[in-house]
Amino acid sequence: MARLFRIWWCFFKNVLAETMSYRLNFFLMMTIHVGWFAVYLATYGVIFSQVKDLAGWSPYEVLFLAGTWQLIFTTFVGIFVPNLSNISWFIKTGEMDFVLCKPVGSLFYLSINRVELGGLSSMLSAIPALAIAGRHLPGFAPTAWDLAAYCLLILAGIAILYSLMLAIVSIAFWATRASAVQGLFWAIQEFGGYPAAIYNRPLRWVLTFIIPVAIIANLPASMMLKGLDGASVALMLGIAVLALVVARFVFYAGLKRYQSASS
Amino acid sequence: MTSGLRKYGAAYRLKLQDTMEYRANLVLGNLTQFLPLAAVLVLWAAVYRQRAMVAGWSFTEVITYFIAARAASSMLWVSLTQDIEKDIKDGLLAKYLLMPLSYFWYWLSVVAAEKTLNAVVVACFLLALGLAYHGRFFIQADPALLGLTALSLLLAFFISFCMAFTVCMSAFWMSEIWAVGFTKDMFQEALSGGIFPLMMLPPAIYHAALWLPFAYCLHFPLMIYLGKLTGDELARGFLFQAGYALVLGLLAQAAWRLGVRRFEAVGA
Amino acid sequence: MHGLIQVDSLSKAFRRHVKDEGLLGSLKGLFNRRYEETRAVDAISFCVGEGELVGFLGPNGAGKTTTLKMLSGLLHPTSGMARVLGHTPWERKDAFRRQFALVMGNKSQLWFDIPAMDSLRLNKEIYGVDERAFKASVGELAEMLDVQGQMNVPVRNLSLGERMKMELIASLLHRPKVLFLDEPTIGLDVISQKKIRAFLKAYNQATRTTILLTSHYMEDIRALCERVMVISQGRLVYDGPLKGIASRAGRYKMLKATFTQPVPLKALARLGKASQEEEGRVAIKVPAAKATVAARELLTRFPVADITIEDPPVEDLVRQLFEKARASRAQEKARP
Repeated sequence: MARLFRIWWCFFKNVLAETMSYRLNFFLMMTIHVGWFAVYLATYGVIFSQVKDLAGWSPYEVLFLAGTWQLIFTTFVGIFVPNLSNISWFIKTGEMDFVLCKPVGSLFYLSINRVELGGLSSMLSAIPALAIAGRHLPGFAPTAWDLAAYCLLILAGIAILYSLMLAIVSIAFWATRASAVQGLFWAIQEFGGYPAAIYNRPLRWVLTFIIPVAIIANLPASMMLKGLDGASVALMLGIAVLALVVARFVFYAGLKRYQSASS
Repeated sequence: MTSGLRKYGAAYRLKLQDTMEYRANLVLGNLTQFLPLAAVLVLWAAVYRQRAMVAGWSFTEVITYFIAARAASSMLWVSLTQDIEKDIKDGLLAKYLLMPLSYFWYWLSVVAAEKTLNAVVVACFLLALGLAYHGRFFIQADPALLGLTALSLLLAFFISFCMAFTVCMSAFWMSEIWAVGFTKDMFQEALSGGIFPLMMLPPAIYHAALWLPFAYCLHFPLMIYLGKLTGDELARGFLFQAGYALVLGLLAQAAWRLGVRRFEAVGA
Repeated sequence: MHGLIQVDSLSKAFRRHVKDEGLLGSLKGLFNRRYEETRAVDAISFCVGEGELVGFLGPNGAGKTTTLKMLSGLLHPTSGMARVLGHTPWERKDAFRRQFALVMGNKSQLWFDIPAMDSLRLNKEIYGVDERAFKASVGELAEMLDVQGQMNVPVRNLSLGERMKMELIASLLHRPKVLFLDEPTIGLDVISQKKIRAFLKAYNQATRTTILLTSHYMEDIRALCERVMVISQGRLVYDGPLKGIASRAGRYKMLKATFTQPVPLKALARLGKASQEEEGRVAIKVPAAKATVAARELLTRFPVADITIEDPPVEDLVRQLFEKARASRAQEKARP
């Protein structure tokens, strides 16, 4: 276990060194992430300039949801996205061969070899949003348990995003000439930043149990707003674990195919 | 002149063939553009459950707007970074410099081929959507307005191409430009009406946005189609659009010349 | 079968899709794909013992890299078996992967923008090499390769030869028992090629590491290997001492010349077998012993602009071996 952490730390140091050579990119990436957050909030701003509530969510409740989504999403983007999106690139350049020869679990190596520092640091932009929302919500007084559960569910949310992206990106092992399949992930994650109440029953069911995007931010946020609910926590954790298992299976199945079909 | 057109025609055809090799990519790429549309439409449906008109827009208009915006952006917008960046960094540019070819017009032809195929796939999709949900959208009937929309769309494509091309020129000076391209894409999406109709912004911001070229990449042609512009606004809009097409075209060529000079001096 | 590396009837076949040319072909390809099967490796068998330095020689596309990839565990074979260090490579067990290294001539595992040393440290962590052993290995290897001064230079700023040297250090710092090399000198200048070859020979002799190397340059094999395996179209056509083919390969030389004025091929026929190549170049095949004499005659009697003396292409050698193998098989069949 300690060895795995040392390996991750080595990767992190290398990325840090590399980022120093590309300082401008780092600032641009941070600008981009914060910029997207601003645009996302502006959409809600436009909506709330016209209506008082959105499917039962008040403006500050929505702000809290948006902050939760930003927190989960940017952390995920910072830690995992540069790696998962690189998998098809690795296959193309043949670097995958080097990864497969190393005495480390291939999925582990592929998942953590880079860090996107710009994205990771922009998760800080979520904090003011959450704080402002909290202050304007009457009766908002989370206990230590609430916070602990919230953090746990944030981790579960990241795990779900990871599983979704991993499963989609693994398709590259079969459809080597369909790199556009990655776009599917970015299309799907759009469903995560809105209050789940806007989706009708069947759609909400699909987005909770089949492609669990809707619960990623909604569950932790509504839990914080309405109080700790053991059943919901258990549900989200269960879905997260299941998602990880399925995604890992798809990945290794794809890897096996890569070993049979490539030259 | 004909020999000039022939070589760009050849580039166009070759790119068509090349893109068709990746048939899954073609279909998937366009499909994934439309999926987020569902989320957006559901969002606005929730808003319209409470009021019939929002900022002067009816629900039908808003739906039409978002679908048209998504269709148009996938057909018009250009993001060239990787190819041109590779040419410059790997020094492959040299082979183009030796040919009697304008790099700018060459890439325009190549991108046009890609967009043609995109347009075909998108058109099929729109047709299917139209047949399934007819009556839910606003179909522009005035042929004059339709013609103006088409003209405006062509200009929008050209403007989008020039901006992307100019951004790529920074590869002559910087070693990694994908972040620059990404930033430009973000501004383009936000300020062109790609996320929500610009008209819904507070008036001060809306008028400021109309001075930027991004608004003429999407907002302007869509407004023509929806018939939401007065005669004055139409004329003014075309003035701006044509003006930007010219200015950005010249800017792109200038950036190219500067870049090539540096390339020849430094190597790669 | 015995030895560190055992291969028995290993085969690998691929499906590739074929397209007609032109726009019409592309449109057809949208709806209907044709495939054809190629046998990249066809029932290859051999054993390699500890400490051997063996070369795989063959023209491009012969199946050398595919074989190497199967032995590294990167590919599943279509049929047959292989065991390296007692493991089946394509199961990719950690215990196996800790003991070998793969170096590919045209691909790099080093991070591009940071000093080579940082990439080496990463490998140290991955392979679990302790600090003292790491310093010792890297120090020795850097000295043998003469790159002590470049350890802290970003890889981007190193020359191709220096990058290959760093690749080698990165691959050897965990003291693997087996080293696979795929076209290690490809793209390098002549001096770097010589240095890499000298290093590999010295390393093999000092550490008894088993080395398997592929190349389509005769010179690589000639300088390094005592044992050569020649592969053509997926089949092993020769497995034996270098002497066996060196003599065959060394029997002829190719004189290649360009002239300031056109010279008819007939006039050159007295020197040897002359043929026209592209760009106005002429190739003359002469017996090796007579090469210098023929070259001198060429220079004195003809308006030569440029001249080189080369080995015959590997393909020639391979064709000869192929035919010899076929002839001896036919002979055996004919025997009562």
